Amino acid sequence: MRSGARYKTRYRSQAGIVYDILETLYEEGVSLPTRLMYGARIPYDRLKELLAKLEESGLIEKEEIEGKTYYKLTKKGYEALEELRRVRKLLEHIGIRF
Amino acid sequence: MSTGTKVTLLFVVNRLSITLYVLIALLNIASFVIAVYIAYKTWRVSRIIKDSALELVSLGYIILSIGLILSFTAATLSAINLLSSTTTIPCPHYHEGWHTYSKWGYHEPPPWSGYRSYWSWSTIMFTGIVYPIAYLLIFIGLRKEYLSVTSIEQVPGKEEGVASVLLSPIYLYGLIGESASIALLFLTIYYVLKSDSSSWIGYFALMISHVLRLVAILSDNPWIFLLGEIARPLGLIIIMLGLVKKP
Repeated sequence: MRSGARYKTRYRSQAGIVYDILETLYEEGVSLPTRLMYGARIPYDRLKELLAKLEESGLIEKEEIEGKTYYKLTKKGYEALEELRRVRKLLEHIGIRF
Repeated sequence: MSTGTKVTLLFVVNRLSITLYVLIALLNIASFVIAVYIAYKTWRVSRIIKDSALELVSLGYIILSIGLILSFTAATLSAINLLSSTTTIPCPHYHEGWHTYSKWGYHEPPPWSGYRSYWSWSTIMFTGIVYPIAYLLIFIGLRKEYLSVTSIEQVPGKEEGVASVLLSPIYLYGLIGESASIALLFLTIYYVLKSDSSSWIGYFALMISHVLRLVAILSDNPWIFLLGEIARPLGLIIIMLGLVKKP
């Protein structure tokens, strides 16, 4: 991580953050919320809101492993990630930064 | 200038107008397809990830595509009308000679002045209302998309005479619509640049189009207006070309 970047106020799209969460889950298989927080670069309270929204949409699901709550992609989540990968460039070209 | 020269000049103007209208029609239909494609893709993603801001952007592109198809229809109709009016007819007012009738005749004020009612031009000026609505939705959508994230990132430690022209409602709609479009596109470009995105060129071309349309209305010059009509679809084509170049 570049030094100083953590303190810079940056503008990112909601779609970009969702993409980062789904991509992290794709790479990790199952993830703890703290890992997702670093993957998506967002604070925990906002991550919790997004995770609840994604779970409600059926893109991710919870899994209890040794008393800890992990998250993983559902089939619908894989499809959503594929779609986001496909349209990422288009969205960037209309001004939605990832 | 002799009557013969005037007739020849008007014939050339007529043919040049047709060429421009055909070019405008082609560019508008191409950018209509692009706008529908963008609207469909953003709508799809917005439904998948339940993103209401993206829905607004998509709606903006749908309305933009409506404007583009209206522009296409108006340009096509104007070209057809001009093609079918190549015979020389007398001027509607006193004139010593005969000339080719054109949609903004040799002596007539521009179509938006309300001097004479042209269906195709009423349609093309109506887009002056449609476009700012589209840009407003796109702008609000983009702003909403980033606003929610900004608050996250701000957490510490994270990153014919003037009178008749001014009385014409078409003129007024055009003036207000173009000004609104320019302002909204300027805000959109500002916001896109603020978010470190490099995809501002398409919106810039759209803004130039509306600047040209505004200049045309203010200076009563239909030719500048037609240039503006060419520039707008180019904005969406630029977006698409960028995608093709960077797969």
